[in-house]
Amino acid sequence: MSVDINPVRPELSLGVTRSRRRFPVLIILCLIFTALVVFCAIFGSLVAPHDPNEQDLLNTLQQPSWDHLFGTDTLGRDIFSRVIVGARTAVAGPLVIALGAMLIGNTLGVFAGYRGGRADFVIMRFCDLMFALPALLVAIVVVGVLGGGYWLAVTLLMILTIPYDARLIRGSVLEQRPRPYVEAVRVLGLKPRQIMVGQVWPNVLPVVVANTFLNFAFSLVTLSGLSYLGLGAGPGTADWGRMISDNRNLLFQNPVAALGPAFVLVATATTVNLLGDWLYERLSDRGRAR
Amino acid sequence: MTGEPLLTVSNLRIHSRIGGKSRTIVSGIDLALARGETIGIVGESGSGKSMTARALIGLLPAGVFAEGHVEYEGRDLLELPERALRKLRGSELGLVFQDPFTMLNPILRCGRHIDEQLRDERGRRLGRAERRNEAVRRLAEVGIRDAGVAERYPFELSGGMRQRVGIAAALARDPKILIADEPSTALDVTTQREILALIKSVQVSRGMGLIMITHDLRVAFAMCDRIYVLYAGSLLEVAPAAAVEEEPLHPYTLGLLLSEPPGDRRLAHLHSIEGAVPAPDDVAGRCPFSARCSWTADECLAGPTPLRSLAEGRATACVRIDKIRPEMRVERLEASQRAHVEAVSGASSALVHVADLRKTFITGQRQVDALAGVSIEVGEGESVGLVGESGSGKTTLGRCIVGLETPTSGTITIDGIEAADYTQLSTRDRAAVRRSVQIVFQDPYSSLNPVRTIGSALQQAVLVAEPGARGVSGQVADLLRTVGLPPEYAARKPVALSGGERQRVAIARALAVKPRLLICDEPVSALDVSVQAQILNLFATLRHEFGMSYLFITHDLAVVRQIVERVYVLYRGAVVEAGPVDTVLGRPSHEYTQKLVDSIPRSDSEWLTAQQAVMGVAPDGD
Repeated sequence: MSVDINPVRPELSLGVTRSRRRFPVLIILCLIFTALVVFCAIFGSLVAPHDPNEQDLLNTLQQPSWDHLFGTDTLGRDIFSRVIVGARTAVAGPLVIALGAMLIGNTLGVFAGYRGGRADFVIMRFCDLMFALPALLVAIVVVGVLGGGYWLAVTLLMILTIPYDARLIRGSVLEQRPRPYVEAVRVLGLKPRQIMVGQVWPNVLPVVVANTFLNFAFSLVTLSGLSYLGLGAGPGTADWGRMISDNRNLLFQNPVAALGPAFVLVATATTVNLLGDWLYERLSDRGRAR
Repeated sequence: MTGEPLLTVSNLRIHSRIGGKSRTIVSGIDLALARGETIGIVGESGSGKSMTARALIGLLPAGVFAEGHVEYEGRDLLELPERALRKLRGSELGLVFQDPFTMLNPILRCGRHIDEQLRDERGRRLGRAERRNEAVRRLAEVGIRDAGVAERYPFELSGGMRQRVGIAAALARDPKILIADEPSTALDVTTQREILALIKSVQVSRGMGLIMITHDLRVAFAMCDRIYVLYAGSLLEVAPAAAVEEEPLHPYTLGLLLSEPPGDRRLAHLHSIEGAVPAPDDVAGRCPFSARCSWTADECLAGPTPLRSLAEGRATACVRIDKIRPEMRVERLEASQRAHVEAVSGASSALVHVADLRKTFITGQRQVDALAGVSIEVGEGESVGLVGESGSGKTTLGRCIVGLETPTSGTITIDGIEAADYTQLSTRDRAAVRRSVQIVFQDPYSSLNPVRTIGSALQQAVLVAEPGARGVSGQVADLLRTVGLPPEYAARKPVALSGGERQRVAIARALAVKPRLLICDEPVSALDVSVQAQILNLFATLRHEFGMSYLFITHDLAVVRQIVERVYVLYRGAVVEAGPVDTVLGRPSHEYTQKLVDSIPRSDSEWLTAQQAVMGVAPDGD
């Protein structure tokens, strides 16, 4: 019941002293790198120095040179151009997964958290069921049985990510729901939909954003993993995971052939995570003391 | 009482540094504490009083720094290394915090909190049996006679009991100075008296020095020998407690005294200090209070206003005191003679009728009857009070009426509509009920959505009342003006507002739907004293203007006296007394009401020593 809050507040709420720069150097680097990757995903085939799929059987297994920055593979294709063009599958799939899971997961999570009761029960039991499935294994089996395919893997990963999003958002909504500002608008007579979308959701937004970035990075790595196993992007596609797999035998002749795509993959995932963290902090500062 | 000095603070300055920006919290104050003396540091939020206390024992939060001298037994505490300070804390300087709910480690039994620090003469830990005996003895000293408490966990105890354990832990190593930072603020009024009496009696019997940090002048008068009035990081007045009560020598102290609603009569209009406490840096180089003072002249703004000694033990920072002293006296006299206004009930037909309402909360195995058959009535245009302590069910009752809780049984009729269960209402009825009854919550810091602007919050409220209304922004501006805020505030977010301003916005939001009953759940208890009076006056004005009814839920009898005509006293989920406010508070017939009335702090000598204060009631089961 009512625990009477004391009338006197602490003089100052002092958080940990942290850098107040709007754009730290690291974040600027991350932004530049991300912009580069996105640019390559859209215009990759236009800027690539060579046609990524052009086979040059006279020039197979070239060492890195000015003409072929990362060398060429067993079919004589320019690896650097393939890395540039590979940005497309690296960005498109994870973007669909992260945004799709965010939309559906948030809808379910906000609804379950705000409404509670039976709706909450049904949604959460569904999530529990999904948690019981070993996500990666299910993806491998299903994609394997159905004969592979990039977009099948993407759809599957999205469905498997939704329950995690839903549960996380539900938790944050549960924390907001008993706050007086929510109760006040309930008493005013706002419709539940208005409260969920207009009042509660903006307050859990930092979590949503950070989580979407994390999901992006995670699905990038997972999708590449599936491609590596031959279950994602089809044979011949310029895809980072696939390239690591195709060129892994060249490791000792031309390390850049496999490590180049691997490095770009790890760098992209890390960059996205860092950006997500930074955005989370920026957004949580909204509405807090100056 | 000026014995040998125990602790001397000179020119203490505290500032915070965040992200390269330095902000002053306390700008150079002097304090002195003699052996066996009690001093009070009185100030509102933002005055720097808690930071001062923390600086004395080296517990400032990260990013906050103190300079100056704190002399204790020939050593400067500010220069001691952390290791040496750690030894002093507990053994020489004890500390009692404000919040009994977080002060104790939840996974340690109460006995552990006390015996953990105990050592024998050679500095070794005591044996098991000895520790237990000592813990039980210490608990008995703070009035806990049940030895089993030592084995219990903090969550098994009530707030008052926890505070007692906290005090026992602070006293475990027999410190010479006890610093109590708002030790009773988070507690119920009746418990507050017990805890204050306990601290006082322990202090007297041990001859400790006691530093009381409080926002409540009444508490300071009852407890302290001398009072330091702190405002925006500067001392405005230093004087013996009795002398301040007799005649304050700074306009701010006078203002604080006059803003305090009297517990024994009802005033037509409360004295209030306009504005809010400024940041120390904003008022540097002039009298900190000048912007809110009605006697401000050029000399107040000309330069810094250090304390000036007026007489033995009395000092004030007011540069004009010699000129305005007679005027201040007159103002005080007028205030004390301001006539009691009879609370006239203008009740006609009943707007809200609650009959035999019950609400049972079931958590796991436990079953709590928050409301055990309560019947109340609020007439059209009437102002009704609901008084009781935490756990009395007063808040639950208010929440049931606005539909935030669904009662277990009983009926609630609002303007002829049966509204015990809002989910059973038709859409039209629900909308009608929502428009009739609105609520203002206690904590203005969480009752506004932090990410929305004031304007958008009010706009939404206006649109709920009148979907598709035109000229909404004009209405928002009107609402803001109604509650005494400039219309420009619409563009601001809640963080940019002070507590009192936020509460005004919360009231404006409730007014947007033009309710006929406004339920106010402790609407001023989270506010500073000087702001409290502003809000109470606002309530009075609004009622005059709109003719609304109020259901005023509060634990503060002095507040309720100013604002309601009829009062219900709630105790453990049941109404124990009801009637016109003057009768109930003036001549209480129920024992519990009497106890509530007695628990209003008074400075007379027996308030803290009377038998019932020291003993309290038998601690209840939980």
